[in-house]
Amino acid sequence: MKNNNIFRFLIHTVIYVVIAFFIYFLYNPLNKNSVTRSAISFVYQQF
Amino acid sequence: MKKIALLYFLPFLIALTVVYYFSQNRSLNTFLFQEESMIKSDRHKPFIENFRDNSYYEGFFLKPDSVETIFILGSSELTETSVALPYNFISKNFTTPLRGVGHAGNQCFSIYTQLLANEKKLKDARIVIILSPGWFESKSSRGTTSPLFLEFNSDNFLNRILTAEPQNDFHQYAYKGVSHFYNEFSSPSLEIKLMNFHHQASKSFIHYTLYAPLICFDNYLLQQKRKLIPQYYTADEVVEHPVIASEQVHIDWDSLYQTSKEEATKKATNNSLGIADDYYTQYIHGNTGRMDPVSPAFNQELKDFNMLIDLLHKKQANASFIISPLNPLYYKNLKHLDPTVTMLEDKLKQNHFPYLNLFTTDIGQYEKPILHDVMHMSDYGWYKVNRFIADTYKLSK
Repeated sequence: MKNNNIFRFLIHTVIYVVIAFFIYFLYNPLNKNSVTRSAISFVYQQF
Repeated sequence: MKKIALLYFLPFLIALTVVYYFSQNRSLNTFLFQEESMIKSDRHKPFIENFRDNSYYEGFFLKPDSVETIFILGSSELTETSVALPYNFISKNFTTPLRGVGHAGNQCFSIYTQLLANEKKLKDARIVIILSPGWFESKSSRGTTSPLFLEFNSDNFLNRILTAEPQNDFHQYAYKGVSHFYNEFSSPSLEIKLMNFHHQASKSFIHYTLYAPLICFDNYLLQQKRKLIPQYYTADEVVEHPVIASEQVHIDWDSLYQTSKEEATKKATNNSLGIADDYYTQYIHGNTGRMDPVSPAFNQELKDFNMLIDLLHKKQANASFIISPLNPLYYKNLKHLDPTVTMLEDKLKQNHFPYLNLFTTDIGQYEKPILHDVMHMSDYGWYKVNRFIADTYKLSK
């Protein structure tokens, strides 16, 4: 049971990191090839 | 609860920490986001259409090599293909290189902001600007359009304007211009947003109070953006413009005029307007054109022009101007543009800038071979421009 939880923790960590990385990449204002560029503007528009 | 913390909150926190590390890692960001064009560095290219596709060129703009470089800025006429174009002819015949920047629509406000972003380099900078009277009439008189502005004014250039010290009326004018077409941007960059906020904040104390927190917040974000990829932001710097060394080059201008005139005349045989046959057949078909003059009070382009001249004068640039011709045989009411052209001339005279006015509304004075269509110069026209540049900057002894 304990091992199972550790395994799930590791899987979740990897998935979360990958998702976070993609969000960072896609919404980064420096990413000129992305139509979702200007992450900072995106964040700002939420206010 | 412990299980939820372990399986959800902890991975979430780890993901945030890792991304924070990514965002602060310069080499990773350079690897992920560096543009291809920034890697290349061909500073000797004689002509570029815009800075958007040639961002590496931004760092070289108005920056002399070992010898002084002359820059020519203009619009559609620069995209023609001819050996007589100044960036071909001058660079070939003299050791002083001449570089061209521009294409259709690169009007006064676009040029103004490009130069303002390089204001420290302006003192003694040799700049030739081609003014087309067509900019000051009809739709064009509304000024530079937003898509074109973005082609010539990158976030890097806009950042320089925003961070310039001290801020003065020239910067405020740039902010006002950007806010004029701000609504046309679907996803404005942080720099464009800040320029708009600065303009809005300058309207009144109440505006200032409302916009101050937004400006502070965006300034902080911009600081972070600059940290992420510092190599994207090249700084404006004071540069020494070496004196042009005159050369023992003899150019037989009269012979060039004669030959090019004959060539242009040979190409215009199916009409009496002096327009090249293929252009006449394709676009004119016996039609005539009309100019739609705009009064100075509503002429944004004229306001932009006046500000451009003030900037060049204030920064002591060694600038000169060409007022390009229009075909008075095609444009039947060209006389209506006379007052505008006179205003351009007056402003240039007041500020002691040399200029070559090739514009005429007098059919008797108009030389047909000077244009190959209704507004673009033939080789004959360009040789006149080349001679003016060579004389103004004393390229030959």
